[in-house]
Amino acid sequence: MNIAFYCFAALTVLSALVVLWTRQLLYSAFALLFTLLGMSGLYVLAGADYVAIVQIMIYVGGVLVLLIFGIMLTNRPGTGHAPISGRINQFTGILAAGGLFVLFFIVFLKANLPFPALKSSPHSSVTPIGIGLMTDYLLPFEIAGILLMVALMGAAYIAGRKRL
Amino acid sequence: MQKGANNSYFGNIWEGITSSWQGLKLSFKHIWEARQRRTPIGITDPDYFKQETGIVTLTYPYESLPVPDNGRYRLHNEMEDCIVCDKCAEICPVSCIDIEAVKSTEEIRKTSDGHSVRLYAARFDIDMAKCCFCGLCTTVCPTECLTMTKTYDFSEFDIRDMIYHFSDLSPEQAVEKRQNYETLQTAKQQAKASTTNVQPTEEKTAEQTSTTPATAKPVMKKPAIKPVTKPVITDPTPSISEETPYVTEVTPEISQTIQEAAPQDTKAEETDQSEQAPAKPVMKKPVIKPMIKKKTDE
Amino acid sequence: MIAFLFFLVFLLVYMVFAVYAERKLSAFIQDRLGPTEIGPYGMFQTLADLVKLLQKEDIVPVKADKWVFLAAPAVIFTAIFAGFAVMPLTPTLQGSGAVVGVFYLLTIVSIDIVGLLAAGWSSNNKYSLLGAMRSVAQIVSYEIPVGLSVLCVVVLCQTLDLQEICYQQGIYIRTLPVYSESTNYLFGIKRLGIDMTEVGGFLTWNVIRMPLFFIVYIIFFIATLAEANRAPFDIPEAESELVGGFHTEYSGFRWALLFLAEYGMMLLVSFLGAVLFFGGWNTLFPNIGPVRLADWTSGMPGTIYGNITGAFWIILKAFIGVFIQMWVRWTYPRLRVDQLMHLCWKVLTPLSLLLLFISALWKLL
Repeated sequence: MNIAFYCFAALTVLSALVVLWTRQLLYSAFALLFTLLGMSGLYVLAGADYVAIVQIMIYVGGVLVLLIFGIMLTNRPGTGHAPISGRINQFTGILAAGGLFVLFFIVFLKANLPFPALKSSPHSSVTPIGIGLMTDYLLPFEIAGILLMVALMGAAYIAGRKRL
Repeated sequence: MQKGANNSYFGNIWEGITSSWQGLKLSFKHIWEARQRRTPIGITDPDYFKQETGIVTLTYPYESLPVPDNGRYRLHNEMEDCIVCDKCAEICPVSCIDIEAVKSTEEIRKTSDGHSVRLYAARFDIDMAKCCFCGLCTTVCPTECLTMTKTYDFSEFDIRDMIYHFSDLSPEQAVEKRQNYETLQTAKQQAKASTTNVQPTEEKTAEQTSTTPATAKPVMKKPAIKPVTKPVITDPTPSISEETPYVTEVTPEISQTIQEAAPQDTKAEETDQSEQAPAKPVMKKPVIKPMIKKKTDE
Repeated sequence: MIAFLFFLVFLLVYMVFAVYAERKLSAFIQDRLGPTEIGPYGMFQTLADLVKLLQKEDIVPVKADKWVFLAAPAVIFTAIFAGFAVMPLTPTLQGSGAVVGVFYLLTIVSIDIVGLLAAGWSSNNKYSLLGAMRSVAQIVSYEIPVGLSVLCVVVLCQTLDLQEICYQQGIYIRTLPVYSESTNYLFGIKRLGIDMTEVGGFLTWNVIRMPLFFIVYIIFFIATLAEANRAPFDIPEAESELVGGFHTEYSGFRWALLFLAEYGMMLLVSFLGAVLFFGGWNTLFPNIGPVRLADWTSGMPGTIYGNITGAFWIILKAFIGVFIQMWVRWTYPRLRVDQLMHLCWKVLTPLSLLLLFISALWKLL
């Protein structure tokens, strides 16, 4: 189990580094795919199989495809112009990143989380999540649903608007 | 239901379902009928048009539709009957027939229908790769020695093998014949010169400088002198008859294929000539021949 | 592990003969003979083709994005092969008994889209790019009817586990501890009071437990056909207009891999259809009084006989599904893009929503 955990962790971290450092926009999108897959693997090891699947379904099947789609339409291989980014706000950037790291580090130390994958529970997380959504968290669930519905209708309206 | 009869939302869906179902039924019918196959029977068979269902494909090299006996595909020339008249080469729209005639010093033989052969074919090549199978050459052929056979599958790996050589003379023999004829002509010229010695000077020079062109014209009108040179030619003639279907410039493979094909064809031709000769003109000739005759008349 | 190896080998063998079967079937529909030369009835034609493909040069276009181009077929094939992990082959043999089975299956197949996009984009070819865009638009759209039709079954079965769904549809339902108390009623209606638990056979399949599932299956079938990029929904490949869509530039081994993925996808959705609607590894024959056809044709879970019969039935059902897919392919012409979207959004999606509603109500009967 531990080996699997380290494999997934390494996959996640390495592909995340590729996302950061590659000059080719599409490569970073494809690397993001592996980051997300690694993350969902970690979720599975943590016993959250439902979240893992949702992670893949939404981020890989939806968001990432949309991302790649956008890149594909704007960027073609062989044209060779990598995105140019200057070095601005280096100091504040490093400061913010370092601050965040320290913050998370302290939180993780104090949270005293059980090491993941110590026990893979035989019971799925699907049923509790379903029951939870339909009872305790019904209102947030419905509000989120309405929000998405509104967004969908708005998108349809904007997309379908006739030219003036 | 007529297409588009109900152009509403549900009407379209219903039509889509029914027509899709019809399509599936149709294609399944074909799967079901694929147990049957059509058999390779010819068009003369009364069952030919009754094979409406089942697989239509014939696995060709293994099975093929029988070709009727009057199928008009590969050309064949029966050299024994050919008078080397060059009509076929002239009428050919794609110029696929190449003939080089060599004059003979005497009548070589009689064809089976009584024409006398006075020309050797030093070359009688038909390029079947060019042939468009119009059949004009066979209609103009005066002795009906050039015919179309029912052989239709004669593909080759090398396109040069598509040229069929029908000449019955080897190159050496052709050279010999040509020399024979030339010696005869010169002999005749000398004889002529000796008899009519007194001539205008202009004609003399013409004859001295160009003997060959002058000799070319009087070919057909010379029979009078023939008997004189007859002993000279008697030697080569038997040699020709010994090696009859001589094929020049041919690789072993082709000569084989031609030899394989040739006997069949010649047999077919012989039967055609002898038995079907009266029947054939009925089918083909009356249509086109009169027209040519008229032309010649005019 | 056994399931993994089995499916890997099975998929390869299946592909070889599925291509052959497809060629034969298309030939028969078109009154032709199909392959006849290699082996008896041309049976080894695909093997010969495969040998040829493996010998061919693996061409990478100069202007292509090399690494993405090389990796894309592997991604596509992996995504589809990963789908077989949760497929119950027999009552006891399953790659992974994941509780989220169906959900996982629908999800992992969506990684396929990324592979298609990568293949189409990296080829640097307008046809490939167009094909990839079309295929993404199509697959993303058709995931909704697929998801809804699967949801209908999930609502009725109240589980995402494919193995449990299989158990529910047969005589061995009570061997599973979770269902030791449950009973199968005819048409799934408790009020009729006709106990079918011991009868089994096709009478306890989901299509009979909820008769409207036949319509759901048709929706599922159409939508998965589109997901698998099969004709009449093959606009991403569209040989006659896009040359080959996203796999235009592929050759040799990688092309074979893409082909394998396409046929693997066909088999996967056929398996899924068999599990969700037609009883999975359960037998077709019911017990009729003393004639224990169901007992005879399907062994107890865990026994060797049970494994053999289970594998036999589910593979048979999957192959029938593949046959129907081929039959459909060689019957219909390709849909236009607008027709495709019309069918998905205006016909299949509303209908499957309605059926989902009815399925939820049916459970209450």
